[in-house]
This record gives sequence, C-alpha cells and structure tokens, in this order.
Amino acid sequence: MLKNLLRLGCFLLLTCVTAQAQKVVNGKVQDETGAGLPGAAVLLKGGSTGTVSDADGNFTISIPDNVKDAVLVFSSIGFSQHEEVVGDRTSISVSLVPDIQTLGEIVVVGYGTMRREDISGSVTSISTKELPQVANTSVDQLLTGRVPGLNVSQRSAQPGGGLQINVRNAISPLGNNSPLYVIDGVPIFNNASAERSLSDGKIGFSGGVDRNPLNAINPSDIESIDILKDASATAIYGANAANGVILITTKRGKKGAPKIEYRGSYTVQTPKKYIEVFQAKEFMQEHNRLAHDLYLLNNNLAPYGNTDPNSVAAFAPTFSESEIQASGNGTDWLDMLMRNGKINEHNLSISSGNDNSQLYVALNYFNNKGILENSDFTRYTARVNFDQRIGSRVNFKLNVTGSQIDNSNVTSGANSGGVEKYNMLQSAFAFSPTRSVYDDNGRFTKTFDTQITNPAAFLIMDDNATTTRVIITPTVEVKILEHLKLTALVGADRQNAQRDFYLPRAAQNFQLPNGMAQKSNSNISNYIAESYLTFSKTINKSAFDIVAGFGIYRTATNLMEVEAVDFPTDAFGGDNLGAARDLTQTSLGSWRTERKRLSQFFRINYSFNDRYILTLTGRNDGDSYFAENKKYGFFPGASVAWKISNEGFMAGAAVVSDLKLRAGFGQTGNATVSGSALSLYGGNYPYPIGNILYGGVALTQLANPNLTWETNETINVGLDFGILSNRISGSLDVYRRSAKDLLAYTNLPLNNDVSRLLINSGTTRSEGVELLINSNNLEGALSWNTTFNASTSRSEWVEGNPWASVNPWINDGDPYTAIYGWKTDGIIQSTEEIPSYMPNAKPGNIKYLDDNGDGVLDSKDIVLLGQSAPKWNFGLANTFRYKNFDLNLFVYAYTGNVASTNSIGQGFDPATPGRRLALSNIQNVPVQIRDVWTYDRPIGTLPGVAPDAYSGNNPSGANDFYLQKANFIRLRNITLGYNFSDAALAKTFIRSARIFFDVQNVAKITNFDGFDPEILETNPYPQALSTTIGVNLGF
Amino acid sequence: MNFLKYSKQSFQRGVVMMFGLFALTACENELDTKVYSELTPSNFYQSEDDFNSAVVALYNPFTSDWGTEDTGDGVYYPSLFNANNRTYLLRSMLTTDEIENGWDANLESFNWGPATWQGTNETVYFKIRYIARATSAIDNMSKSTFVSDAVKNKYIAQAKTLRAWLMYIMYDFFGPVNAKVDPATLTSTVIEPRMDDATYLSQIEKDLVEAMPDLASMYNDDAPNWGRVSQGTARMILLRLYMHTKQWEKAEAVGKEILAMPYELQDNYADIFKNERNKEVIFAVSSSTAAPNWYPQHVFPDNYASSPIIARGGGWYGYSMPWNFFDKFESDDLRRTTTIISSYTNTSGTITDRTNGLRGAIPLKYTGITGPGPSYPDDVVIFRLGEVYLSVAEAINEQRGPSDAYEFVNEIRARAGVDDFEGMTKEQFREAILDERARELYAEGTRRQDLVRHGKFIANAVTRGKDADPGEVLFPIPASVVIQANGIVKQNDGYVD
Repeated sequence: MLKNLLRLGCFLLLTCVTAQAQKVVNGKVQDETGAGLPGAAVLLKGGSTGTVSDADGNFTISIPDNVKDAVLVFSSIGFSQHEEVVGDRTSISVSLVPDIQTLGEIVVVGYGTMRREDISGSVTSISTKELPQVANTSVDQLLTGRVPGLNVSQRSAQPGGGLQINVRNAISPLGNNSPLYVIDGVPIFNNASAERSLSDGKIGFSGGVDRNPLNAINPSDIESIDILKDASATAIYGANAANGVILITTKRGKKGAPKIEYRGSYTVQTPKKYIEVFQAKEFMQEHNRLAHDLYLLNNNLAPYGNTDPNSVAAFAPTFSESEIQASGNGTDWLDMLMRNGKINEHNLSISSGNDNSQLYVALNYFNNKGILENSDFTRYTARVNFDQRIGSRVNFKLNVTGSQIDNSNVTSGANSGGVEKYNMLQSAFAFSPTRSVYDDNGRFTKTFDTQITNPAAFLIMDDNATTTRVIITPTVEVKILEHLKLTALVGADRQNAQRDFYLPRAAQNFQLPNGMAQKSNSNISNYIAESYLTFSKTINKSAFDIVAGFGIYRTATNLMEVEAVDFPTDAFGGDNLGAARDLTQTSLGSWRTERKRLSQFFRINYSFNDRYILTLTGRNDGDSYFAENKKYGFFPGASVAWKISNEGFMAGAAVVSDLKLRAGFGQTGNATVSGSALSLYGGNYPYPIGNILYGGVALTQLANPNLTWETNETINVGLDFGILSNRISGSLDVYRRSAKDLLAYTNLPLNNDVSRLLINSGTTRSEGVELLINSNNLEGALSWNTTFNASTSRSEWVEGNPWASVNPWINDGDPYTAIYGWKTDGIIQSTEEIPSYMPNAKPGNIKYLDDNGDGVLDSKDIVLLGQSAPKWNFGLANTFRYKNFDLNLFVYAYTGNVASTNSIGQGFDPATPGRRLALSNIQNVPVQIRDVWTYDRPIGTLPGVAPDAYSGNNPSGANDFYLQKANFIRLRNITLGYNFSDAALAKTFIRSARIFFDVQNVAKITNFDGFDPEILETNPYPQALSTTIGVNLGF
Repeated sequence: MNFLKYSKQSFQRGVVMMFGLFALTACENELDTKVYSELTPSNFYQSEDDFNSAVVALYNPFTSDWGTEDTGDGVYYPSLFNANNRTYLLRSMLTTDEIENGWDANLESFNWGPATWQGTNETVYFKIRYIARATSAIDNMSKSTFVSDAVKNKYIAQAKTLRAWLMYIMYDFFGPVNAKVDPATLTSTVIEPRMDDATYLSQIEKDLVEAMPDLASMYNDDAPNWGRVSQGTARMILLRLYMHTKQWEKAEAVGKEILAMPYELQDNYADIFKNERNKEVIFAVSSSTAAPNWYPQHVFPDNYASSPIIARGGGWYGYSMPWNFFDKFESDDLRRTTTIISSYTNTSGTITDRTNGLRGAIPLKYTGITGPGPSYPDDVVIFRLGEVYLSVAEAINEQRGPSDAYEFVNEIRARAGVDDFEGMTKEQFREAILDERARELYAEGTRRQDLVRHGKFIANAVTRGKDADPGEVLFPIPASVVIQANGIVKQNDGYVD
C-alpha cells in the first residue's frame, strides 16, 4: 500500500514538473437543491487531467495553457453528465440534474446485480417512485397495467383482496401460475396467505379470505422491483421460475445526515354502482307477473299447453293490488350493508449512515374501513435494514421486517350450499324488501324462504383474523480476494394467522340456531440458507462476472382448527368453546406439511469490448415433493446481446443514442406438485354406526413414481433502444413460451375407485409481443413524461389437451382459455318461433342454434365461443410537471376476451333466471329480471319460467347467452401534487414538503353489461371510488 | 480488523472449506417425502380398526347427512339417503305422484338428458366408485395377514353386501353398468363396456349369498352396531332384486325367510318411525346429531306453527304430497291420520289447508321428532317388515292368484285400521297392491320401483302432464361417462349421445 502511494506521489510530482504554464479553475459542484456534491468527477474533455470534488463539493483543477477551448465534464453517480465551456472563467459552479435513467440502471437479477446495459435477458424494472402508493395495500397491486407481459387483475375488491397475477399468461392448468417472489434475496417458495377460510361445512360460506400475502410488505419500503420474464434470466431460480421472477428490493440507509420522511394520507371511499335489486313495489309486481306465468306453465295453459282454462282454479296473485300500492320502497338491504369507507395511512422512515454503518428504519400504519360494514383492514409494519462494514473485507447486512394485519371479515363470493348457506351479499340480494329488519319482538325477521339468514344478522357475527409475519435476513459478504466475494445469507419468513369466528344465537341462523364458533391457527414458514461466490474481473477487453453457489430451503405449514356448535348463551362470544353443548357436531382438525429443496446454481456473464455479451445460467434443483425417480432437475439458460450503439459504425448516428439486440433461450421448471406423489389413504368418508360417527378411510391418491415438474422453455428476442440522448427509450420483446410435461389428471375410467392420477402430459404455448416506451415529451418549465406499454399474446394447447381426447369439440390449437358451448339466438318469443329441432321447447326458452344443421341439438353443436384471457393489454402513464405542480394520470385497458354478465351466484339458474322470484318461497332478484319473457311481456329478452328441455343434451354445460366482450379501459388514478419551494421552507425545520390529491379507480369505459369486466367473482365485493388527500414531509 | 490481514491465507482457506462443508450436507435422505397427516399403503389394513375404517368408507354413501367430497375425483356428492332433492331417495319420489317440490324443474317435468346433471348434481351414478372401493377393500382384507379369518370374514361379508346393494341401486336407476368387481382391473385404464343384464344380476346375487353366513343375523338389540348391514338387510336386497326382475318364486321364498326371522310388525304405524331399533325395522341409517336426518325439515311450510300431530316452527316447504295421492288414503286410515298433516295452524293463527293455499299434504312420517330442528337424530328407515308382507303378497298373486296373498296384505291393512281386501281377481289384486304399497310405504323411496315394475311409471307421469318419454324409465348414463368411453359405454335407449 505504501509502495502504491509512493508511486502515485511520484506520478503527481512528475506531472507537475513536466507541466507547462497552466490556468487554475475553482468551483463547486452542487446537486439540484444547491447542496454540495462530494466525490463528483471533474474532467478536462479530451485530456488526462481530472479531479474529484471534496466533501463540500468544491474542486480545483489546472488546465494546461496549450489546451484550446477547454471543456470541463462533470459527472457523479445518479446525475446526468454535464459539460461546461471554460472560456475565460477561473471560477465555475454547476448544479447537476438527477438522472432517473442512470438510477434505474442497476438491475437486480438474482444473486447479484447488473448494469441495465449489460442485461441480455428480458427484464423490466420499476422504480417505486413512479407509482402512486396511497390506498394500495400491496406492491403487486401497484403493478397493474405497468409492465408489459405482467398480467394483474383483481380477484376481489375487499380491503387487502387477492390478485390474479401472471407473467406472459397462465398456461399451466393444474400447476402454479404465479411468479416467484424474491424479497431482498429470499425466495418465497410458499407465497400463500396464512389466513384460513372458515370451515364451510355447516355455515356454508368461507368468508372474506381472498387475501393478498404481500400485504405484509409495506409498499413504501420498496426501492425497486425487477421482473425477470424470460427463462434465460429466470433459469437461475430453476424449478420454481417457470412463471417469471419478481425481485423486490427494499430501501437501505444512505450515507449522510439523518433524513426523515413522513407521508400521511386520508382517503374516502364511496361505493360505485353495484348490482341493483328490486325495491318493494316492483318486487311484488314482478313476482305476480312471473308467478302468473308459472301458473300457466304448471297447468298447461296457453301458451305452454292447451288445457281448458276453465278446468283449473283461477290464478290468485300473492300480492293484491292494494298491498302493492301501499308498499313504498321497503327495506334496501344492500344499502344497509354499504357505507362510505375510509383509509388512514401514516408512513415514517428514517435513513442515516456513515462510511461504516447505514440504517433504514420505517414504520407504517394503514387502516381501511371497507365499504361493506364489518370489513376492516388494519396493518402495522416495521422495518429495520442495517448495513455494517467490518474491516475492509466484511460487510454485514441485516433486514428485519415485521407486520401485523388485523382483519374483520364479511362474506362475499361463492358459497357451498343452498339458500340456508347464503352469505351476506347473497342474503341481501335475496331477502324480501317487504320485510323490516326486526319483527315486533325485536328479533330478526325472516323472508319468504325462512332458511335465508337476515342480512342484518351478518353484522352481529364476529369474524376477526390477525396475521403476523416476520422476515429476518442476515447476510454476510466477505471479500476473499480482490475479485472474489463470498455471500452467505440465512432467511426466515414466518407467518401466523389466527382466525376467530362467532355466529351468535341471536343471528337465528337456520342450521345453527344456537350459535357456532370457529377458531383456527395456521402457520406458513419459509426458511432458506444460501451461500455463493461472486467473481468479477476485467482482463483487457473481456469482462467476467461469475456467480456460483447453493442453497437449502424448507417450507412448512401447519394448522389447527376447532368448530364448536350450540351455545347456551351469547355472553361468551367465541371465547369459551368449552361451553358448547353439542359435542357430536363439534369438530377438531389439524394438519402439517413439510417440503425441502436443495439447489446448486451458477451464472456466467461474459462481455467483450462492451459490445458483445454472453450470459449462461443454470440451476440444479432437488425437491422432497418430487417423485422417487425424479428427485433432481437441471435448468439451463443462455442469452446473448449485441450493443449495436457501441459499434464504430454507429458513431455518426446521432439520433440513435442506444441500441441493443438481445436473444435468449432457457428452460425452467414449475415445481408445484399439489402434494406428494405417493399413494395415500384419507379419512374423509364418515358414517354413523350406533351413536358414533366413524371416519371411513379410502384410497385418495394413486402413486406416480415418475411424476415430475412441468418444464417451461422460452425463446426471447428483444431490442432495447434510445433515441435523442435517450429522450425516447424503450424495449421491444418477442417471445415464445412453451410449457411441457404439464401436470394433468389422466382420465382413468370413471368407475375406478380413484378415477384420476396425476401425470405429466401435454404442451401449452404462449406467444407474444411486448413493447415498453418511455418518452420525455417536453422538458423545461413544463415537463411531460409518458410511459406506454402494450402487449399482445396468444396462448394455446399445442398437444395433449387432456380434454381434447374425450371432448370431440376441443381441438389442438384452440385458445388456452377457450370457452365452448352452444350458440344461442335470443329467446323463443312465441309458439310460432319454436325451431323444428327443439320440438319440446316452450315460449320463453333460450333459442339454441343447431350449428351443424342435423336437426338434433347435441354435443356436435358445441363450438368455440371465445376466450377468457385478454388478447391485448395496454398501460399508459402520463406525468406532467409545471413549476411546483405535478400531475400523474394512469390508464390501462384489456381487450379481446369474453366474460359472463351473470355475476349472481348460488341459486340463480341462468336458464330460468326469473324462477327464484316466481316460486312461493320468493327470493328477490336483480332488476334485470324486468326483461324476463312472460306471456304478457313477449318483448322480454331474458329466458322465461319454463324449464329448459335441451340443456340436458349439452355436455359442455355452457352457451353464449350471457357471454359478452369484456373489453374495457380504466382510468386507474389521477394524482395531483404541489411541492413547496425551498424558498418557502427556508426558515422552517422542514427540508421538503409536498401535498397531493389522488383519485383511484376513477372511471371505466366498457360496453360490458355485467358488474365489472375485470372482476369476475360471483357475488362480488362492491367497488369503491377512493379519493385521497395527503402530505409528504422531509426533515 | 488487523487479524484479517494478518492471516489472510488461512482466512481464505477457512472460508472455502466452510463453503464446501455446507455444500456436502446435501445428502439424499434430506429429500425423502414426509407425510404427516395421511395414511400410506405401508401403514393401513393392519388391524381390525383399519378394516372397520375401510368398511365404514363403503357405508359412507348410505348416510342420511348431506354428502361427502369424493377424493376419487375431487367432487362433492350428496348421499343416497339424504333428503336433498338430488339423491337416490328423493329422485325415487319426485319422479312419481307421491311427492312434488318444484326446485328442480328438469327433474319433475321429465326434461332431463345425459348432460342435465353433471359433477356434483349427478348423485347416484358416481357411487359406482364405491363399488370399485368395495372390490379393493375385499381384496386388501383377504390378503392382509394381520387379523384372524373370523374377523376378516365379518368385514368382507359387510363389504360384499354393500357392493351388491350399490349395484342394485345403480341397476334401479340406470340398468347394468360397468361396475368393477375384479380386483385385477382396479387400476386398469381400459374402459370396459357395460355388463350384460344376466352377469350383472348374478354378480349381485353371488355377493349376497356369499356374504350371508358371515353376517350378523340382526342388530336390533345391538345398539353399538346399529346401522351395519345384517342377514336381514342382505335378504331385503335380494327381495328387492327378485321383485324388480319379477322372479316371483325366489321373491316369495326370500320374503318368507325374512318373515321367519324374529322381526315383528309394530302395533302402531307411527311407532315404526319413532322408536329406534324397533323390531319392524330391518335396516335404518343410524342417524345422530353428527349425521342427522334432514327429511322432516324439508316438509314443513315456512309458516307452520301447529297441528294435532306436532307443534313446531316452519320448515323449508320442500316436499308436499299432492292431494290426488293423499286421496288414495281412506279418511280413517291411521297412516293418514297419524303421520300425514293436511291442515295446520300457521304463525298468524290461521288454519291452512287445501282450500286456502296449502300446496299438498305434509308427508311428515317421522312424528317422533322433538325440538326446532332443522336436523334430527331420528333414524331414516330404509328396509322394514311391512314391505316384506306386501312383496310376498304381490309375489304370490303373480304366481297363483290372490287367494293365498290376502293374509299378508291384510296384516298391513288391519294395522292401518282399514277393511280387509277380499274377492278380487288377479288383475284387481295387482292394482290394489300397488296402491296399498303407495299408502304403506309413502316417502320411503319405493314408489318409483313399484311403478316401473308395474309398467306404469311413464304413463303415470304423462297423466300428470309431464313430458315423459318411454326411454325415461331409466335415467341417462352421464354424458361425461359416455364421452370418455368413446363408444364403449352405450347410452340408454331414448337419449342422445
């Protein structure tokens, strides 16, 4: 070391001695706020002279006199390079502008980072700065529509609700279709929410459980998100990477004085238009109308038959005209359950550090009162990210995050039984508007069908869940040699959820009149230990970057649940299960699973002359869930890139500032075997003998010792480009992704005791084009930035669709999400319109099309009706800045798919939608039932009350009567912000301040008549318009 | 941190060694699959309790509780004797004149086809899996070396009886099917055609005859085992089979074997359904609060309050007895007056009957129920001695006219407090016995079989204004089965492919 210093000294001395007459220039390098920038490089253009700014940003540089027209080049990491002509000046001060492009250029790729320009696979990076964060509970929600090829859609609008997320389409019918999340280097192999559903055997609904497991990660703690899309990039995660990898990097402490950031916001949520049901008067009128038609049908009167009307008793309407006139609007059950929601959020972070230690600490509080009564979501998170240098070789990092989420749940979605098991929304749809909430004795009223629980009774049920999650990741990095680094990390991710449910006696549930309580406690854990060596060296024009290592992983789950029935009193709530009297109905359950993985992995990156790049990756994965003969799999990836813009012949192409061609190929696995591959006996076959309910045991699963993972192969060709000094930049990718050896249930004969066996069979494919463009349309006082992405894709069965062999209407090459069924042509509006091939049809029935014209409606008339996955996805974000104002608008759109407009679940028979209203145990129905065809309303467009005599000949069970194009454009959010100027804050202790106004879920444009073309949940949780006002403060 | 510098070489070696050791801990056994909460072939069929568990799984479809998710295909199916309108018990009633309900318009209007009931809604056909399960259990139990032959035979006999019963139930609804009775074919992927009629029927008979010696005679005095199949049950299945196939001589013989057993008619009709394990009941599902009887709840109107028979809250207003059927009973028939409600006081105190909106009579049958429900621990009666008297009478009449048959039917009529049958021709007696069975066995699930046997099932439906076609005397094989078999499994006549 001393020797080196001496050499440097001699060199400097020599330089001085040999120097001729010089001019000395002083100055200061500042950042955009005017603060001095230490360590900025100041170079004389075209020469070898240069210096570095000191701790306050000051510099001194000598310019030889023989240099004509001297130009100084200022640069610093994170800022745009700046040139300044010296001229006659001896003092030059510059302010450098932060360069967002440069900041985004470090890309996390798994077991290391790379410069964006060296990436040869398909990787999209998102900085969370680009995403408005309020009123969102999880990071994946923020990605909706932002990344080409990343398809995100909301499954449920409940607070913290789950998302459907996939990269380049879901093409595995039984396997997992969600990407692998890697949080600060920890692969989360079991990314499920520990929050358990209710045991629905008795109560019938599972209740508000579709939760997003990423709710535990505070989106504000996230620095960047890198999405690895093609197999050449993801192969380093091997058997778990088939669906892409999303790498989440959290914020770390920065050197410098402590910085405190606070964000607080308040959001009001107002319900958007929801499913509307009849009010009392119309409920009665419509019932009478439909009941009359049912009377005609049941007595074979015209138009349904030719019985003499005088031979049967006259029709007696349930509701008299005077009752109808006196009724008014009645009780609006849905309105009673809905409220204006609100979200309260506080986010506080502190970053500080010196040369040896850096610390980032953040706290978050998020409280959402959902727009349905009783649906609340409260989250507390805390994070400590700590970096410590120990000597010159060792770097220690510790990431700790903990969260607690308290939910109170309401029920939406599907249920598992008849009317007695209706959930809250179903009850509110079906309950008669003619009934008040309470009867004269103060008890909840009953509707015409006494099995239906009063909607108000759901509000006195207790259903609370508390989920805690802790992720701890200590990492040690050791510089063994100058070019060789060892990284060892251990990760523990532990999730625990406790759910407590109490159905009070007072709720008068039909099946459980004396109350019921459930408690469950569930744990999900991911443990990892990884160690890898990184070697980086540049020899002449060749740059090597090599990573190799291994890991041991264990995921475990366990569960304990209790259901206790029949309480003598509501006084205990669910807190004294021992008080339950009906021990034969009380049940206990528990289970435990464990899965281990062992892996070795490597990546070799080779770059020549900064123009040609080769990346090779591979991973060898072993998995305890894999079958006996297939314990290990190897997954390779390779990609190349050519930086065309660095070639000499591009030097003159001033317009093109950046151009890179990429190509990659790789194989990855989808290791979601839905359990083990062993032969199993299960005890799910009870029968009572004497007074004991014995648990019967039968074979539940057949062994398949050759069962293996699904293999994905991706070919990806991409082009990264920048025009006009990267003022316009973007990338274009074309890919083909094939999934082979798909998990499939063989169709063993249906008379076997176990008529399915999990095997590997069939191939699906997804092909597509993705475009991402970022453009700084305007720069200057008014700046305007646009980010646009578009993707189109096609997924299909290539071979071995397990259903194609048995269902003749399915063909290889059909869309992967194909919907098959009979075509329809409205309804039969009169006896004359009954088609010859439907001789048993009645007026009001759906008119099916005899597609092959053979005069018989059967399986040969089944055709492809459409696909459920969108063909095109678009996203468009615009940011405007003018002086201290900023405005952000985000719009996304999906097109090319079809969906059913019928979103009312249980009990709503699509072939005779009016029947529920017509029967004597009247249920209320959506107002669309006005359009039901009846004898006296022959212009009706929905099927009448007569049963459908032909659906029994349609083995697909589907038709296109309710299918519509589900295209939509959604204005997802508008954010308007105002930054207080430094001048305004100069005399305060506040470093920076911004207030903002944000509207989420603003509007959608669609021709779709159903509830929402994106949310296809039955009995959906209602959607809200969220309006937020908030403030960012920095100290 | 000077020491790092000082011992640079050894530090580097140390790190590399640690890295290596860590990598070597990956040994093969680490990746053995761990199963914590299920059983595997290596630890099952090893004790009498295991045998019992395997046989209980075969009883499972016969429970009166709602149903079970069948792990054989991952679909939930209602049980055979549950009161849901999709079950074997209720489809046997709802397709006849004895019960109406209106919940499944396709069923009651005879508008069904091969694809009407798929998956969870096809509740009877997919019990075929339990036939294979029985074959597997019989095979595994025979091969097991862990228990004595006496114990083995006890459970094998039950498994064979249940297999035969399931095969009879399938036959009743669909005709012969491709049941798996050969253990060698259990895991075969080859789809066999439907068995021919004779082979199928002789298989049922064979199982029952083989099982008979190892079955307990009856369980009426053995409360802990009540609910298991006995010799009485096996003979009842044989009796139903012989009646169904009109083997009158065999039917009479097996009927008389049962009459010779220590079963006794109850003095009061209502007691049969009130008193658990009474001597008239040959097989009942041993319902309890854990696996209850849901039938009574289905029959009460929602505003029910009281009648002389019972006072309780409203029910689900599911099943009513059409007034035409109710009128088959004489007005002083004790079966009608003690177990069927034709007039009740509703929650507002109004008397409700056929004149002011009661859709049909309330076929309660189970008058011993107590409490508000919705479920009751009262056993669901499946086979009883009363049916044997009527079947023997019918079998005798078909062979040699009514003269010897009167004594059997009149035992039943006397208990009901109605006049004896006498002075009929063979044809008149045949008509009369069909009606007598309707009255005696109402809501017990025999009406469809009886109408089919008498060739009146379709005509009876047409009379009621249903779209019944001759082919609908059998239900269709589910479309999924026919499509999968690709021509090997033939659809029943009268249905499209």
